[in-house]
Amino acid sequence: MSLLELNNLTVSYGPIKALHGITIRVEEGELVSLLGANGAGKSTTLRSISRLIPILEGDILFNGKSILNLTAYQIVSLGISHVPEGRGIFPSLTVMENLELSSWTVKDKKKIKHNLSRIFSIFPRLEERKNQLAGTLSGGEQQMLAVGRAMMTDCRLMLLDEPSMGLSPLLVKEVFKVLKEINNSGTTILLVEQNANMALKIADRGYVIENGRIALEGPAEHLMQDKRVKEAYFGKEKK
Amino acid sequence: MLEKAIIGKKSISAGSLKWIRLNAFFLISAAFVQMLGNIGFINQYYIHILTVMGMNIILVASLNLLNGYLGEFALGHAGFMGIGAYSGALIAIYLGLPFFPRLFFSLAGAAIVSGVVAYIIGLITFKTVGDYLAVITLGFNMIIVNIIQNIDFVGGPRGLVGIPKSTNFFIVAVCLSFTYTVLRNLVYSNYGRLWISIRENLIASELMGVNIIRMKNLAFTIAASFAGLAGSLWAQYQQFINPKSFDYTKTTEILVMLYLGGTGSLSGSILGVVVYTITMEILRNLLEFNPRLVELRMVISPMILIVIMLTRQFGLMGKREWKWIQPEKEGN
Repeated sequence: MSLLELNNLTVSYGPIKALHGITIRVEEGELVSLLGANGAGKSTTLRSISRLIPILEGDILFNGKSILNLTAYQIVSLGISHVPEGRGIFPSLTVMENLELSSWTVKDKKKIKHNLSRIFSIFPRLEERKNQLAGTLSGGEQQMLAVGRAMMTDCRLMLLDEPSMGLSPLLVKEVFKVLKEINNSGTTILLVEQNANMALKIADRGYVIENGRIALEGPAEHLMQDKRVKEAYFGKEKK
Repeated sequence: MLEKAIIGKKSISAGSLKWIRLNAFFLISAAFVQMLGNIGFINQYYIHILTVMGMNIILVASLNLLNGYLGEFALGHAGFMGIGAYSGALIAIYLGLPFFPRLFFSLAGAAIVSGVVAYIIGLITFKTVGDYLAVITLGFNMIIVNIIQNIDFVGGPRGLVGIPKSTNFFIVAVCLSFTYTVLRNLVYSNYGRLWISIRENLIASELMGVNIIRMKNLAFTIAASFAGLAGSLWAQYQQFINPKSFDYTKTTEILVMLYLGGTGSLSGSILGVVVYTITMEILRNLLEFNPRLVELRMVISPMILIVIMLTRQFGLMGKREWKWIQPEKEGN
């Protein structure tokens, strides 16, 4: 049984169909990348998993159970955490307050403390700046905070929407290294990215989504070698 | 076991002790002022102004919870003040209690009735956001006033008379101190932070697993309860209430004071009310030589709002707080 299964998922914004029946499987412990161009339906897929938008057809199974009739806030206590596009931090709260708020669904005080110390060991920068307002952090630090907040919800599955957006290549590398680390410690990750090169490097498997349909899928190494992926995302090789 | 023992002791922290001392000082001074007023040492007119200020601060600070911290534009605050005023007045008139129980039950009852009504309204209202929410709350304000106007039992449009006088400056000061203690603790608790997070990024706070509608309704209910408390104080101070005084004109006045002081700042609510009230009273005295000019004040009040919006969008205080209102940062 897969941890997350999307079966023939169809989503539309008004009359315009954004997803035409996509099927995706994520196994426990995997890091899966979802690649695609602008407007292909990557973010829509994540938003429909965290129940932010209504679903026309198809089913979403988490841990074998359908989550179609749950609302967005109920999803979190199941163990799915979504880091939205643009990070979604709260600028006028401090770093610490941002983190503490995110443990809203976690009742066990010891667990909160444990998660907090784990986050601070992965992101020492956040500990240095914990009393600073989140709005004053740099872009990279804000992304770290967003990932840290997802970890505070004590999630089994982390949905990440373009964590590389607006970051320098060096910072992207750092963030992706941390994501791999988090994945290695047992959290399943579904990663939406435009930066195909970086995303496939750390991923186990990948899906390529085009105009709301799955165009390609397979192990990450295969996709990296695939001619079509190369042409679409890495640019044509010069001869 | 050891941990439990330590928690069981739970000594009062230095910060709370400071707050308690501050409030005690405020209440003692208020009692002193009230006494001086009673023996005629301070002009009754000044006592009256202070009393009105106190009630308005309760109204403005509670609306601040919605418009400032939660970031939703609610336009029906005077309606809940009206519900509180009428329910408080009815309790005071008909239950026939001696002074202190009467005062207590009319204030607590008013707050509860307003809160319950707000909760029910909130169940409908918070399906919407933004402009729609503003229009719906304004609509409920009008409905509440119209309903009261059409109930003959409470005097209809003529108003309700014969309310025993139980409120004076000192009582208002006690309620004000209570209001600020509750609001300050709320705003700096996880709930307050959550309301701020809803204001700053609704989707992100929903993705933390928070039932947004319930949390919004909680803020709405609390704000309305305090509006009801202020209404009940008002009714037992004026001894006469009529529905007209709780329509959208009053809501606008509360909004002017709130935005003058600054949304999202408890200090701003105090400052806004004080500055607005003093300005209006000075204008009244300045224009007194010609009774026709006194009405000009009503033009000047909305003018103030326009000038604030053009020059200081964030009000006098912005989001800053006076130091004595902030709880001390924990030493971590």
